[in-house]
Amino acid sequence: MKIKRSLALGLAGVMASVALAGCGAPANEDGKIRLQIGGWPPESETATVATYNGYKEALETLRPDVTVVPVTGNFSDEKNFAMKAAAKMLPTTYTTHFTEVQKTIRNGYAYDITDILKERGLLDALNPVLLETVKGSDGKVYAFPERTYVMGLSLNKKLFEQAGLVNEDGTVKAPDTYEQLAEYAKIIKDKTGKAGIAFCTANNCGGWHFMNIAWSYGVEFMKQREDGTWEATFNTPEAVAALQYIKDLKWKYDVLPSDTVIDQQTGFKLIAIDEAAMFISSPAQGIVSKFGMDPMNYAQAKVPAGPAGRFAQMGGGVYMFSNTATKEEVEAAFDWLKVMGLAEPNLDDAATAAKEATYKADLEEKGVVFPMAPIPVWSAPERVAKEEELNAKYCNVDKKNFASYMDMSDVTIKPEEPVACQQLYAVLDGCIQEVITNKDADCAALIAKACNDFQVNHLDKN
Amino acid sequence: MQKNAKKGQGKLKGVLNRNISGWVLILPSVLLFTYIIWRPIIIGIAYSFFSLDGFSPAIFIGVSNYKDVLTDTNFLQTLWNTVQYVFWSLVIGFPLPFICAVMMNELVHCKSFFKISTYLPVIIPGIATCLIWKIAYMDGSGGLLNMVRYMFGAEATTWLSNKDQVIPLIIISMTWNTFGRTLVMYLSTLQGVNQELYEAARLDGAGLFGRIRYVLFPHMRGVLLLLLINQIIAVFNVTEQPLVMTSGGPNGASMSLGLTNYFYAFKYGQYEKSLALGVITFCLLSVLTFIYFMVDKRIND
Repeated sequence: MKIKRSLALGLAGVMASVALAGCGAPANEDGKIRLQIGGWPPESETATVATYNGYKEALETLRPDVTVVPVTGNFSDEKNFAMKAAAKMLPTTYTTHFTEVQKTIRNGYAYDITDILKERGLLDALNPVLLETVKGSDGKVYAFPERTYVMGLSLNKKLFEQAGLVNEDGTVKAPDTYEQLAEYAKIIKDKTGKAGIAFCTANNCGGWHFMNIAWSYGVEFMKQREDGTWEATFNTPEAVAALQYIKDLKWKYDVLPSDTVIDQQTGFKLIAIDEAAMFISSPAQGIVSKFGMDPMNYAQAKVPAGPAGRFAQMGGGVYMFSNTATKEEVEAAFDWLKVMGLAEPNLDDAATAAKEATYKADLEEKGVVFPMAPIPVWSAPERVAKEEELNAKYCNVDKKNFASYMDMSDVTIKPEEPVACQQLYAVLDGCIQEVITNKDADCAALIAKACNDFQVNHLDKN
Repeated sequence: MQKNAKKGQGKLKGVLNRNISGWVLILPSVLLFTYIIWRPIIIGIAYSFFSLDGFSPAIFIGVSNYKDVLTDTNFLQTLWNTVQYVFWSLVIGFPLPFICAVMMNELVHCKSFFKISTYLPVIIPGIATCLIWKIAYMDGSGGLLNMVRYMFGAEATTWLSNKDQVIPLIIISMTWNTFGRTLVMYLSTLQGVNQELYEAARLDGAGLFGRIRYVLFPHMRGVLLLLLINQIIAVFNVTEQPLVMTSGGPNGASMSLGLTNYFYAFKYGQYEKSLALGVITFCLLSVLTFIYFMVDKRIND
């Protein structure tokens, strides 16, 4: 009995200690810097992983004191991010979107890279427009811009051709104004039976896409009061008109897909499988890689113009650095970015080779390389020209059908709204869902409620 | 007094001594329960009165988080939606498994076949069920139910995008998914009914409804009420079905408290609000449960 009892006691003790033992901090092997690289491609993307392993080898040869530790995944995924950040488990460097930068800075999870950028000659070489968007309220730079996008219209060339909407030179006849967009969409619907345009309604994507239209109708969404608080300013006839436009697409022109819950992925799919002819988007690899659209069938135009002008939203990807990292670790992370051909002010041979490797992997994995984004990351024209030359070697879409998109001279490019923009999108998603599911929806009342909701629920509580 | 205290201590010691191996054996579970379940619940309630810095409490702000949640212009609508979910689940989902169980209990042949058939949807993962029904409910010619309508010569209609239908439709999908589980519980209780009582009732000339009223119902009352409470609590927390099928739309018509909470925490990173709303939901459910126990007691007395 006694033996049994002590055995039970011992077992219980062991079990309890096993259960309660937390995971210890990972030890530094041989005093090397453990450089954790976020945004590592998933194993399924074999070609891209191979390229990354090449970078890893290159960096570890260049810096024998560094061990690269891959961390899979993009950190724009908020669920993942907030938890990792709170648990101080952010990788040394992680990828995210422009939109997340300010929030990350405010929450104190970002590392100030101003000095490092200066020392490496990057601060003056990068596009100042982009740098402005990744600065904190203290004027310091907290993120390294990797790539940019500008929204436009992704088009399905086949459907345009079937509807006879082609120019004399065979290129797609893209709509120049929102009114024209509705007309063309109607022609496509009548001639092909397919949706003229897919418009997002869900997962905040509706509000996000609506921005381009609303700005072009002259809507201003918010302004900062003198005391620093924010005021929602979109309860205006312009916003009502912009919403009415969406409503007309459904009830007057009837050119939207029959499915009413559409997020970005659904939109991509509809374009790829010839079920919709237009979709508000920047050139999206996913349309080709995930849903199998032929790159040669992919056309891209700039956003149409509205009564108040032609406005397109800009965003992109950045590298940020963990607030818990040491200066040495962040320096090592910049060496990594240099090996990747990113954080290198002059496009030297090594950087060129690294970029070519990325393009090759993209072609193999995603099946498509688009022309350079119209807003370059770098400011020096020679650098941009060199990059374009490199891009031209791999670009596999019909550039003629991207011509309208590449000329941004008459487009006003805006970053996303400064405060609570995801919440704003959610509120606008609601309005959009209402107008396309309810024929009798009152646009003015919806906008008034949305403006008030956004003020009371979000701006006042920010 | 002292004597009593001593006696009490002695008693405790006695209890501990007598079952020392038992106590030691449950120690790991107690520790784990405390650590994994009770600790986070209590921390969650405590943190809901703070503003958070990441996941750590920064400043005590009293009921400010609660005020933020309750003054949200959509809170009342969301609460009302949640009540509607519960209402429709009681109308559609509650009687169905009971009726089916009674019917199956009366069956002589093919009992196992029906048992297995009704249980099959339960083994499909919840998200998969949501996606299946989402396709069934799709608007336009691609939706399964619309295809059925075409077969009968009817026009396509709108399903989940109709504000007035969206909640009952989601409840139908939930009922399809889970009613097998409830049904099995009813069936097992039904099989515990004393067959002599049943026979006696039959001999006394009781028809099916008489047997249900006088024999089955009194026997099943306990399990019925238990499952009722279970269902109210489960449906009150409805989250993944509207998340997958509608994202809470159209225009918030299928938004539930659970989904609002999910969005607070995982879409916008507003953990304070999420905690406060969690506590509010907890309180609402506690009140409901309390009322239920009072009513139950009164009926029993």
